[in-house]
Amino acid sequence: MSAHKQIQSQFYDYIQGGLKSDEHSIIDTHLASCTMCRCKLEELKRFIESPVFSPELPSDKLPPEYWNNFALEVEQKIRTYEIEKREYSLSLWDWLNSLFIFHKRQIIAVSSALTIVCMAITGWLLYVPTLVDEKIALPEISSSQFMEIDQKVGEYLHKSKTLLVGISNLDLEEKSPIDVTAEKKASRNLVQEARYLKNQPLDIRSARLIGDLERIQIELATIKDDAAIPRIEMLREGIHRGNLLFKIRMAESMYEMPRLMNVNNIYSGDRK
Amino acid sequence: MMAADEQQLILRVKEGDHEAYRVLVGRHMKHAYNIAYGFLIDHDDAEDIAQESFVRIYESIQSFRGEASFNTWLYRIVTNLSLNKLRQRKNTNHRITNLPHQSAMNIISPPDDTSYQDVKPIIERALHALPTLQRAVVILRHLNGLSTKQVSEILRCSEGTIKTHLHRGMKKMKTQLTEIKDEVI
Repeated sequence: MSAHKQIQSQFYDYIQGGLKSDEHSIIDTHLASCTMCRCKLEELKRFIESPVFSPELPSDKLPPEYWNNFALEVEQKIRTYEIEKREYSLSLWDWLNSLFIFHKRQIIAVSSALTIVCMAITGWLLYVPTLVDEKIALPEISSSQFMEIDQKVGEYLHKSKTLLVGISNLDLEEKSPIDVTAEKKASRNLVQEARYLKNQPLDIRSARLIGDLERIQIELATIKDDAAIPRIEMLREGIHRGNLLFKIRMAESMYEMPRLMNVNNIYSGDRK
Repeated sequence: MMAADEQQLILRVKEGDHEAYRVLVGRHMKHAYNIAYGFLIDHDDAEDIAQESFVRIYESIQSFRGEASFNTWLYRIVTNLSLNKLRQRKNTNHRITNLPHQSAMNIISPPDDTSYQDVKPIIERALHALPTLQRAVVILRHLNGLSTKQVSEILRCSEGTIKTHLHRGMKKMKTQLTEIKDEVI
C-alpha cells in the first residue's frame, strides 16, 4: 500500500476523532505537504457529514411500544425453545418406550447381543494387560546389562564396518590369487558375536541389520581361496545393494560407540 | 472490558434470573436490530435476527467467560446470523432488486418523513452493491458507530484491515450514490 493510501485509510478515524495523538500528528504532517490527500479528506468529510449519508438509525423509526414488546417476544421465544427442548427429550423417551412395547423380542435380542459384545470387550481388555505384563516380565534385565549389550552391539557394528570397508577396498585387479585369511578369521569371530547378540533384547532394526551382517560374514568365513575373487565381488555387490555401510553408520550413532576403541586388533593375526 | 454492572447482570442470568436478562435485552436490542437491519434492509428479517441472537445468547450464556465484552459477543452473533440470512436469500434467488423494501418501514415510519423515504432506498442500494466485508464494516463502523477496535473484534480482522475496508467501502459508496442518483433523476 502506498503512503498516500495508508494515510487515506485513516481519514475516517481522523474525522471522527478516533486516532491517537501520534497517529493524528502523522496525518497532519502529511496533509500539510500533500494537496491530493487534503482534497480527498475534504471530499470524505463532505460525504460523511452530508444529510444524504448521515447515519439514521432504523430503530429510531420504531415506536416505543414496539421496543416494549421486543423483550417480551424474546422471552417468549426462549420459553418456546425451552419447551421444545423438553418436548424433544420427552419424545425421545416416548419413542424408546413405544419401541420397547411394539418390538419387545427384537429389543431383547439386540440388547442380549450388545451385552455379549460388551462382556467380550471387557474380558479382552482385562486379558490384554496380563499379556503385556507377561511380555514385560520375560526379559528381566537391569539397566547396567542393557548398557553392556548396547556397548557390545556398538563394538560389533564398528568391527563389521571395518571389515566391510576392508572388503570393499581390496584390490581385485591383480590376476594373482589374493590372501583373505585375516578377513575370514575376523568374520568367524564376528559370526560368533552376531549369534550372541541375536539372543539379546534388541530393537527390530538393529536385529535385522545384525542378521544381514551375519549372512555376509558367514559367506566371507566360508570363502575358498581358489574362488575368492568372484565371491568377494558378489559380496561387495551385496554390501552395496543392501546399503549396509550406511545402515551401520546410522545404527552406530544410536549405540554411541566408544570413539577411542582400538579396532585394529580384529585382524588378530595381522596381515603380513 | 465489561462494565461491572453488566458483569453482575450476566452472573445473575447465569443463575437463572429472567429479570436480569430482560434488562440486558433492553439495553442492547436497538443496537442488535440496527445491525441486522443494516445487513438485511427488511424490518421482519431484522427483527427475527435480533430476537434469534438474544435466544442464542441465552442458550450459551453459561459458556460466556467474559473475555470479550458482551456487546462484541452479541454483535458478532447478529452479524453472523445476518450474513447467513443473506446467503439463504441468495440461494433462494431472492435478489435485492425490489429495493427499497417498504412493507414494514412504510407502516411504522412517521408520515411526514418524506425526505428519509426518498434518500434511504438509494443509500440501501449503494450499500448492498458493496462486497460483504466492506458492507459489514460500513454498517458496523459508520451506521452503528462502533469503534474500529470493536469492529475488528466482531469481524475477527486486524484494525488495519478494517480501516482499509472502510476507506474502500466509503469510496465505493460515494461513486455508487452518484451513479444511482443520476439513474433516479
